[in-house]
Parts: sequence; structure tokens; C-alpha cells
Amino acid sequence: MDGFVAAIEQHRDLFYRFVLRNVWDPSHADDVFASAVLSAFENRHQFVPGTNFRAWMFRVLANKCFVANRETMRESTSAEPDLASALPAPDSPHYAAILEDPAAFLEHCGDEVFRAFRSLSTAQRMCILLKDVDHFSYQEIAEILAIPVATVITHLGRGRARLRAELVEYAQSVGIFRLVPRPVAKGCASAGSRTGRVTR
Amino acid sequence: MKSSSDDWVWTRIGGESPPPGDDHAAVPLSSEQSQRLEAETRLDKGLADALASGGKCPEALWEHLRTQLTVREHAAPSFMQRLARRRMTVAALAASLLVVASSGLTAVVLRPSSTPEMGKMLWQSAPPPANGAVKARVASKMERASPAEDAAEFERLAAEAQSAAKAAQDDRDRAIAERDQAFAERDSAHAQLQEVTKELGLARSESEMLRATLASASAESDSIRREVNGLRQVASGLGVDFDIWLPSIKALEPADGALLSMAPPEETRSMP
Repeated sequence: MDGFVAAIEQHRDLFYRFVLRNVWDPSHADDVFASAVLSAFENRHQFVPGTNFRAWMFRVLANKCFVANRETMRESTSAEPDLASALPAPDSPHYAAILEDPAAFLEHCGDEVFRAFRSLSTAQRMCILLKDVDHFSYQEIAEILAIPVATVITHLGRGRARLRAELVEYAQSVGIFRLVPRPVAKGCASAGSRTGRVTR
Repeated sequence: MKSSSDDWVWTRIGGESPPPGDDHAAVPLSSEQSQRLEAETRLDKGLADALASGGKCPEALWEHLRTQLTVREHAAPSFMQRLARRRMTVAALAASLLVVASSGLTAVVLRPSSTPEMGKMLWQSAPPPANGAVKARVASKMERASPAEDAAEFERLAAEAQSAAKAAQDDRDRAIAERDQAFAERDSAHAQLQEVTKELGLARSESEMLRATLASASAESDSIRREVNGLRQVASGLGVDFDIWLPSIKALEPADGALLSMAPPEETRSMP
């Protein structure tokens, strides 16, 4: 048991954060995390020594999060985000302004990033977390979530696009940027044309 | 042939190498695209950093989990482990039964065809290397060179096993009889309990009825008392001596809630 507890303890913040970011109701995070750890302990004989314990544990956590989100969906009216609205990042002046200084924009956003992240589907959130935060490869993510690699890539692309779209919408709603309209060169995307700047 | 959108996807997703055979590197990016890609990469990295911040596992939760894991480690084995253990037990039992059956079958096969010489040969062919009590037992067996003696021994053992089985059967029958008797006693006690419960319900209903009667009598007594008071006023107005004694109906109520047989109140009336 000591080996199991030590392995969990080594990555417990990673595991807990994964659950916290993936369950729709953050107040359930403690319960889901505890349930996943106890379930993993009960089935620890299924882990093959010498393989990636972190990936095995993330598989257990992902399953528990999916189950918890299904139960939350039954209880509340918050449904899965509309996939039709998961459009690519808007090619708008606001987005161009964000790309001018992403760090400053994110500093201004604060918890808005988490709110935007919660608007993604569970699979999209898991893919983004496993790829960008926990640095798993596409193949490992596909094995953890038991989906094809192509689906992982699709979830990543759509999730990132949706996340950007949410943040752009937030920037528009609160007026973070004071836009200075300038003539846009023909055939040139808005990234190259400086259409706005951060007014912090 | 890959489309340009595929190239765009592969260049956007985190800089990981595309699958083998992908020729995305052959399409150069313009400077604007490169700038945009770099900016989006920085945005994604910033988002990842924001998502990675905070969310530490609470110490109290971890301590609770550690305690639970310790308790479970020392608790009874899980269902699968018990099942596996049971399977092992069943397998061991089956193996031992198989050994016993095969040895018995060997004895049965050898018995009709064995002659005294063959039996002697079989018993004396390979004496086991033993000493002490085991050696004595082996020697006694070796002396018993006749299959007829073996058969007698076998019959004796069978008779012993039969008597043991009969004793076990008797024990089982006795236990069943005791169990039946206990069930009968339980049923009888249950019936008595139901009877007592029924009587208690009847007594309660009678008590409620008597309580209602007492309440109505009390109300009548109050109304009579009011009438007598009215008559007293009339008599005093007329200058007539009017005296009547009314017993209080309240005095008849028992203190502990039990009901007494109540005689009708006596009225004493003295009219001039």
C-alpha cells in the first residue's frame, strides 16, 4: 500500500486539479477525487508495474469525471455546451488585439479563464488539460480517454477555438480594448493589422 | 493529397510532430501566419499556465483519504480476492478428491485380478525407507500379504465411515428438530404477543369511551350547576332560603388516568 499512497501523493495536486477543472460542479470535486482514489486503490492489481502510473490514474479520474458530470446533468439544467457554437477563433479586431499581448490580456481576465473553460465539453476540457497542462502525447491522451487520436486532435482544436471565442466575447462585453479602426490590407488577416491595443 | 486546412491544423496544435508521411513542412508559412501562430502559441501557453495555477489538493481531504486507505488495507479482503481464495480452495478440494478417487480405483482394479503371489510381490516390491512407528506399520501391512485381508480392512473402514455418516445424520436430524421446536416456540410467542396487543387495543378503546362519557357527564354537571346558581339568585331575590349541594364531577376523575365505576351524583335539595 505504501507504494500506492506514495505514488498518489507525489501527483495528488495534479490529480485533484484535473478533477476540479473537469467536473461541472466544483463542489463535487472532493467527492469525485476521493471516489477515484479509493476505486484505484481497490483495483490497484490491474495496474501493470513498469507502465505509466500517472496515465493509469488519469484514466480512472477521467472515468469518474464523466460519471459525475452525467449525474450532474440529470440533477441540473446545465447541459453539454452547444457544439455548433464551438466555432474557430473569431477573426475579429478584438482577437487581433488579444494576440498583440496575450499575457496582459490573461492577467486582466483572472477567473474569467476558468468560467470560459467551464463552457467547454468534458472531453474538450480533458484533452486541453492533458495536453497543455500535463504534457501527455496525443497517443497517451487517446489511450487515457479511450478515443482515437484523430478525435483527440479534433477536441483540442475545437476546445481551443471555443476558449478563444469565449475570451473574445468577454473582451467585447467588458470593453477591455479600445479599438482604433485602421484600414485593413487586402487579403491580409487581422493578425498582421494592428487594430487595437490594450488599455489597461 | 492534404489540404491547406490540414496543414493549418498541424501547425496549430502545440508543435507536436505530425504522423509520418505528413508533408506539412513542405508548405512554408508567410510572415503574418508565423506571427499569428506565435501569438496564438503564447496565448495557449498563457491559458495553460492559468489553468495549471491553483487547485491544490486540500490537506484535510488527503489525510482523510490516507486514513481510509489504511483502514481498507487492514479490513477484510475484497470480493474478488475472496472469490479467488474460494476458487483456490475448491481447486485444492477437487484435486484431493481426484487423488482419493484414483487410489480407490486402482485398488478396485487390482483387487479381482490379484493373486496372493502378486499381492506379495506388490507389497514387497518396494518397501518404503522408514523407521520407528511408520516402519512397524509398514511391516504389519507387509505381513498382511493377502488381498482377502485387505478386503476385510476395507470393509471395516467402510463400516466405520458408514457409522460416522449415520452419527452425522443423527446429529443433523437432532439439529433440525431443535430448530423446528425453536420455530414453534417463536410462533407461539408471536401469537401470544398478538393476543395481548389485541386486548390492549380493546382496553384502550374502552378507556377512550369511558373518558368520553366522563367528559359529557362533566358538561352536564356544569350546566346543572349554572341552573342552580340561577335558581339561587331567583330565591335570594324572593327572600327564600334555597340550598343545594352539588358534588364536583371533577373529584370523581382518578389521578392516574384509570377509570372508576362512577355512581350518579347524589343531589340534596331542601326546599322550605
